[in-house]
Amino acid sequence: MLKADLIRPRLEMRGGQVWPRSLPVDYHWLDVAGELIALFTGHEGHTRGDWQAALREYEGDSLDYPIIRGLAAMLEARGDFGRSPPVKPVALREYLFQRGPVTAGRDLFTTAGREEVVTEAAAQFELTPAQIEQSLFADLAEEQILLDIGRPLTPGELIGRYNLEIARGLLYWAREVRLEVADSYKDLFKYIKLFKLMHTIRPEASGGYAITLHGPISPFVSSTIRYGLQFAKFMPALLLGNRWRMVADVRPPGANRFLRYMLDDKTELRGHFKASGAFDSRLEADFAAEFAEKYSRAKRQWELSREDEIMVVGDTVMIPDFAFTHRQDGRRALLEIVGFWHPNYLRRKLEKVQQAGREDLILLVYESANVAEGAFEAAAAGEVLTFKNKPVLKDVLAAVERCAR
Amino acid sequence: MTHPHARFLGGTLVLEGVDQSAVPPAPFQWVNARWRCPAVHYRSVWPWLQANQIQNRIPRWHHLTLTLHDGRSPHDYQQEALAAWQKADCWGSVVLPTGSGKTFLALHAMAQTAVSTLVVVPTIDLLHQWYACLEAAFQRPIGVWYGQEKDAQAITVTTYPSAWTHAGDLGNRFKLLIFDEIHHLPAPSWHEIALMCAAPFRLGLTATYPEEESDGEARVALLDELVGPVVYRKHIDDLTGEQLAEYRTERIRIDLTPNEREAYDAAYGAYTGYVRETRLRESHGPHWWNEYTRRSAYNAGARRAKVAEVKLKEIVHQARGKLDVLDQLLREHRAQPMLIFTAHNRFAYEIARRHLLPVITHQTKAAERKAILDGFRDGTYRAIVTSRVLNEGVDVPEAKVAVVLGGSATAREYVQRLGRVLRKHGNAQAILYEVIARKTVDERIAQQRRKGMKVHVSGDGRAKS
Repeated sequence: MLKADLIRPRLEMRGGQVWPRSLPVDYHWLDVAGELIALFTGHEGHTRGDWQAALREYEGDSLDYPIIRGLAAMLEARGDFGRSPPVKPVALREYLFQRGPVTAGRDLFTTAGREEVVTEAAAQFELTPAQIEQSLFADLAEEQILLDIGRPLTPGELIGRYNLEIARGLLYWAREVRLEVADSYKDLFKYIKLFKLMHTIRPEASGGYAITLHGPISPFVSSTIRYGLQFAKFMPALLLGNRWRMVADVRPPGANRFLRYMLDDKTELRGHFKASGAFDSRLEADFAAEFAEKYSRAKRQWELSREDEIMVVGDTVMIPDFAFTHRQDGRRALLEIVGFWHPNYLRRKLEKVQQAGREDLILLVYESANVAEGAFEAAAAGEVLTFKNKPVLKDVLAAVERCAR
Repeated sequence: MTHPHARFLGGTLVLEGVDQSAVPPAPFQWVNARWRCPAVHYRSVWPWLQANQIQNRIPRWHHLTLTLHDGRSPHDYQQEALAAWQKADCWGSVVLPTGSGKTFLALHAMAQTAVSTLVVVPTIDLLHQWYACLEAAFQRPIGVWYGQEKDAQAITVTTYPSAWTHAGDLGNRFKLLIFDEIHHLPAPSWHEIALMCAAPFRLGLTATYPEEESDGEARVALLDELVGPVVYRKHIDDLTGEQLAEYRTERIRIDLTPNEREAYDAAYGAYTGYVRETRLRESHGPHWWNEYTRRSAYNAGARRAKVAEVKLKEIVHQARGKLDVLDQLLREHRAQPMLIFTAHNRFAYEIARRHLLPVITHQTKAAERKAILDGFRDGTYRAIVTSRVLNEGVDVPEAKVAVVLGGSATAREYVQRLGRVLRKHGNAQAILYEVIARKTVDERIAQQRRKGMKVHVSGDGRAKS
């Protein structure tokens, strides 16, 4: 994440809107990005202070310094800086400074010069005088050594990452983020939870959902930007979807009111979050495969879709694995496969199922699942089918027929 | 199915397993399928939780065994203040004039309540000062929570910005909240700290509580709601009456080396050339500096001037000649405690390395900083070098010699502060040296710094031969 003062110069405000200015991937900027990468790579084995001094030198009096510093900060964040001095710097300083101050000029009262004190310390700590000098302030950030530059980026990748950071950084000053999404719900909610955001959600007539993101204290204060950092961290999760729109209210420094920041699936930004696989487990993958095989397009009555509905359960959500939709009358039933999972996971699932109270939700429970027999039957409002090795498709479809509405 | 309980969530209190038909106290609202309210209401809602057998999983604080290692007995007004605060159920602010021992009062409040405590202070310098004070007073590990150190202990000191950022995580870990300089709390964001903490005991300290007439009723009402009303107020017109002794200021002028001079003149020419050519002073009057800084973000000429200005200050603030003078002063005053001030961290570290004397910058962590200041007080260390971190509101240790090697014109306050340090014990021998690079901006900066300072300047200082 880039610091706020590297984001601000890249913002454009007009009317009631604000947007981040992307850096073009053109000859000039590819060149600059390439030079910075080379400069950083060249500092492997050198201190952070040296790298930063070289960067100042490179930036000179260029007006593009906010961009150069931003690109450099991206590289620096990827680098592994460290140092393991042979002696604790604090202990070394205590030893040396108790023997100071020393002066260059000597007179009658001078007892020991710098060299003597350092030599004495070297003997005390069983090190060379050079090691003493190197260790003295080794705990300062600028004295750390660039050990590894991390996975190398191409100039184009660096610019892409930078543009993403600017786009998410604008959310530092957001009080609320409103989303319209129509796919990738599971990933989305995974990240909403990961960054401890709260949400309110409602289905939209056009399909998909409107989701408002905020934090625990938001409902009780007129407006707060305290969740801005979490919004910014979350933002790349949006890029995992194919159909989405975001509108955020942001108030960057210098704006005297909240402005609109809009972004949608047509953006050229590329995220770096990993989409989870198509299926959470073998069971689900097998189920979908078997359905596709046994019921060819022509003869199926029910269409099978994957995680296309969000069930609101209290202040959280449940996204069933599958939905069946009738081809003629549009009736629907939901299916959740409960496999062999950790007991805690099953307990939470059980609670959610009970709270949801949905009669159109069918549970397909693996017989050896870590849960007391009959527990799901007791909790569920819809049907519960158990299976030993693999679910029987015919039975499932019969249940769908009974439960769909 | 969930056993009814109340928990802390990101600065709010949430009732679990309590459905919408329940009738919890007024602060609770039905939001996102739960009863919720800001954590500040813990004090008023916990009796209801108890009465309704709702398990209280909110507090993560502890009762402590605290022994106060401080022999000083409180003044009458401190005792009165403490009694008033306790009578108000440990909920409210105490207003006492500067220098009347507000920290000491806080120590007693902590010793009496003996619970996990979070102290919130405006600056990192004050954080370090509280840390040292708390550690000495209670002789137990004290946590500090700010930018570069995040270590929460049963007693922890933090800053307003850090408390704001982390209130959602720290809010249920302390039963007592102490706000130092509480007049900062009603600021737009910072009041959220008080809103998001569950602590039922709160103590605000300040010399300048907001007034309804001048600061608006809203600020006072907000403090009433979040920390409680003023429980004790005392005006003490003149606390001290102690005799302040004169101290000497000496200016020592040094010459730049030929290399420094050449680089300086080039940078100075570039900088003043821009300001002159654009007639900024004429067009923008006293605000020309702001305009110039604003332009440097998009105008090539202004940016060049800005880079040149930074460069010339670097040269002046770290002039080699200043190091020679310092070397000599260290020898001249070998028997006297000395504080050395620099404009930049880098110069401070260079001096520390060169002379093997302790350095304090904003990067110095709490424990080492305290050890250095303690060592300075007990004579283990004879000199400390510091960039501008020992400023307003901080107890700078007493010194006989102060050497200012660089600083901005606006650092006037800390020089004044320094003046007080030197005057502290009626100590006529004390000297403040200002080391100035001849024929540079240093001379003007020193002059501006001097304005408003009532000090006795002896002669025109000495030039280093």
